[in-house]
Amino acid sequence: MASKLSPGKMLLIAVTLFFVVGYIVYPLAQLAIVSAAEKGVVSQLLSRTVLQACFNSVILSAITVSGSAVIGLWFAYTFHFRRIRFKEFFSAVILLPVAIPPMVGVMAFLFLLGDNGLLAKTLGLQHFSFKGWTAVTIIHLYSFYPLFFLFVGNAFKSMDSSTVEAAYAMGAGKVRTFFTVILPQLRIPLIGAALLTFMASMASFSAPFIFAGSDRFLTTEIYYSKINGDMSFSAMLSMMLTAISVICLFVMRWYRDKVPAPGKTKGAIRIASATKVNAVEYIFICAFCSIVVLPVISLVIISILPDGALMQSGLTFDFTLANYRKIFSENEFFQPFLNTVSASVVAVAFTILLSLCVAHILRGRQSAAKSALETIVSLPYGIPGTVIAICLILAFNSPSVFSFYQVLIGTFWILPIAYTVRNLPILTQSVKSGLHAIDPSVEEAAASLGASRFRTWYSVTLPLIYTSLAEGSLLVFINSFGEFVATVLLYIYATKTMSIEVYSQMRMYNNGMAATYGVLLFIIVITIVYISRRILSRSHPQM
Amino acid sequence: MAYIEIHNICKKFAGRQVLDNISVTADKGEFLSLLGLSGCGKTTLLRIIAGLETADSGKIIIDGRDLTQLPPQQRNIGIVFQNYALFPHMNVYDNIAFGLKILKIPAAQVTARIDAVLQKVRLAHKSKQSVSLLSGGEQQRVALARAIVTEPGVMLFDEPLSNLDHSLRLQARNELKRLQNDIGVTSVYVTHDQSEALALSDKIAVMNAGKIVQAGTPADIYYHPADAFVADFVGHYNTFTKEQAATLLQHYSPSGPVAVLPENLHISNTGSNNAVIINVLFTGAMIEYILNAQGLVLKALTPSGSGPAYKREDKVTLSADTRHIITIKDTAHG
Repeated sequence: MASKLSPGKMLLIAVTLFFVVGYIVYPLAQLAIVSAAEKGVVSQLLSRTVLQACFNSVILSAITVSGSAVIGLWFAYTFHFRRIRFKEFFSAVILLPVAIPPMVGVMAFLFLLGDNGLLAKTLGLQHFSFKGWTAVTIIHLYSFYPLFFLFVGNAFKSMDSSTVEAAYAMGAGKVRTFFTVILPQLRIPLIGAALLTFMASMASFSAPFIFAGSDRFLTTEIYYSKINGDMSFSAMLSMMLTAISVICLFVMRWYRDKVPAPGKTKGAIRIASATKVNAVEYIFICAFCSIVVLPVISLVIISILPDGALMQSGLTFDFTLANYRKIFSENEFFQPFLNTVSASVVAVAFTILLSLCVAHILRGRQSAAKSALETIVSLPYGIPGTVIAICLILAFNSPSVFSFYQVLIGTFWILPIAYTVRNLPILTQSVKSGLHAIDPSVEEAAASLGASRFRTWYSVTLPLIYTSLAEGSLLVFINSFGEFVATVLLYIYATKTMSIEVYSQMRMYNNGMAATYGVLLFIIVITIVYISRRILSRSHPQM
Repeated sequence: MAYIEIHNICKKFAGRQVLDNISVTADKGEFLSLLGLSGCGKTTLLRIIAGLETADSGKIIIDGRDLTQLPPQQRNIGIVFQNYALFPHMNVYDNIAFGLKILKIPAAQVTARIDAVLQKVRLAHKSKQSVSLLSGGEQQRVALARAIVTEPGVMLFDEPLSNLDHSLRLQARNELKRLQNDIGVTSVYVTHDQSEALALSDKIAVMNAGKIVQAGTPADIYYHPADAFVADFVGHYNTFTKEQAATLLQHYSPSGPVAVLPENLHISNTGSNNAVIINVLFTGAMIEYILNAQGLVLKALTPSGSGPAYKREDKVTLSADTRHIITIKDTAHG
């Protein structure tokens, strides 16, 4: 194609540069400047509190990764190689935690296992206490094992099952085969899930925020110092957390590029040779799935109990939909619902627009400028939500060119902007792989038939990336819809979202209301996932 | 003046001269093949004619119009791609309608023209089918229909038959020839298969290492190869140095290197018997003898008649009719 820049392409580049420089580079630069301005950086970083918080975060993440890996791997292995009754149903339940927004999950555990939770009240436990390290670790395991289950499960699907059969044929036992043949083939998904979990766990805020008590973690330290007005100390801690996460991100990308993908053979999975799970295993699977569902059930129960009923008389069956009615009839309670929906919709629109721009610029021959752009755009993927919020506060609490001389902090717009920054890497990656899968000659064919560049784009390119665009956008919507970590630093009373309300209603001892928002978030996410899966699975077959 | 004029096209990719001062023409209605090994630049030249690549220098003129600077959508061309490049999200009908809709042809006429072209490529019954469910041969015919339905000034073919298996390829070749006779559109056809080029073309341009080494009618190229490369690539000629020819060919003393087509190289068992048969391949109509003549490997084709007259290890004598021995320029292969 002609190497000259068309006006359309120039517009793409202008939009992209404006956003990337204004909303990623500039806020990060502000963070660096502010944290460097803090006096005695080194001595502060080496102070006992900071080191302790850092140590706690790393240890928590390490435990989370290893625990989640064991759980996820066991289920993925069992579900792939064994026959299980109602397998489809169980694997849906096992994936359930993915659909629960972080704050909602934490709240659900509080309602189930907290001091005044369902379990304590129904069983009349006096000294039962679910807090501190145990609580945070359990919630982390609950949130992150599905990642391993998904990654490893997908790897099993593309694995050449004849390698396993070959090992058996040569006389290797089950255990030996698992460790010498299966596990080495799972290196890529395992490392991928491990690094993702490590990053997410380092960045996790909700669980330590609610349950950690006096134990300190990096994310909560950042939040408390911001709330106490010590912005530069908060910025400095953010830099530290970012450094750890970004290193992880680069290790992951380096590893992904270094290790060659295993050759895929179409090996039909021999279900016939698979053995059925035994009774003990089956009972374990049933029990585990019940435990997975329990927090959600307790959330639902709390949401339909009359106010204060649990405190006074324990669990009764005197249910009411009063809380739900309140949200949809009283303005004060409906506003958060409206805020959540509009912030997510705006964020999805922004992210779609920008990811299309970025992915189209990145297309075609590699260049230094392109890989620089790709690196910058993928940075927020490795930056914890807390840090992104701090960066945006530093950048937009005063007028700047990039905000058209407006103060964005304290407005509605900062929420969708934060969600866009956080989700841009995900959707860009998704669109990029969609574009990558298009045979360039298909677009050339359109041009040869007389289609203008724009017509080729919307009648050929767009329909062909539609599925990856839609799937990515769905993820962006879900992430934005339940976002808490960045929102809690950026919202004001008028712009509070449902996940903020989950937290603040609980703080005001309106557990019923908090649970109701939680259930709404969960139901909407599940419904959207279900409907869009149905629609996407019916879309055009790819050639 | 020729209908397609390609003047002095040069193109470099990453410092490598892919096309080196290419000039070739085709008259209206002519079928021009660009024939060469992979990497010779033939596909790049086709893409430059289509406007999908820009040349570093040179001109493309079609029907008196200088197209060199125009984007592909303004060139009024039809392309059949090697992998067909059908729109996977559309059915057969919509694929073919794509170009017509851009030309803003009235709906009734669109249907009529698509029906007509589907008849031509014998796919009328598959009009509503998704293209991903078609066989390779059917996809190839849809690609062809999509390209010809807009009645382009020039058709460009990028090895359109190379993804088909052998018997289907021969069938598709005949089909293409029939359509070509029918429509008579000026075409440029890229291929590495010399039998395809010989069968289809009015004119062949043989390319090697970014240059056109010979252009002419199929018979011209076949019977009068310009150099050793063309002789070997197009006709699988046996080539001899002056000395080899003098010792191996009976009753002949050449003035330079010569070439003989396998079907014109005769073998007998009377005379010096200085060649050994190392392999006998019975291919039906013809018998192929591979010979070793004092270290030179040669091929002779004879009508099979009542079966092979010679067997492996037989010693034979070579000869050729003087009018079938062609003097060639002595250029290196490749």
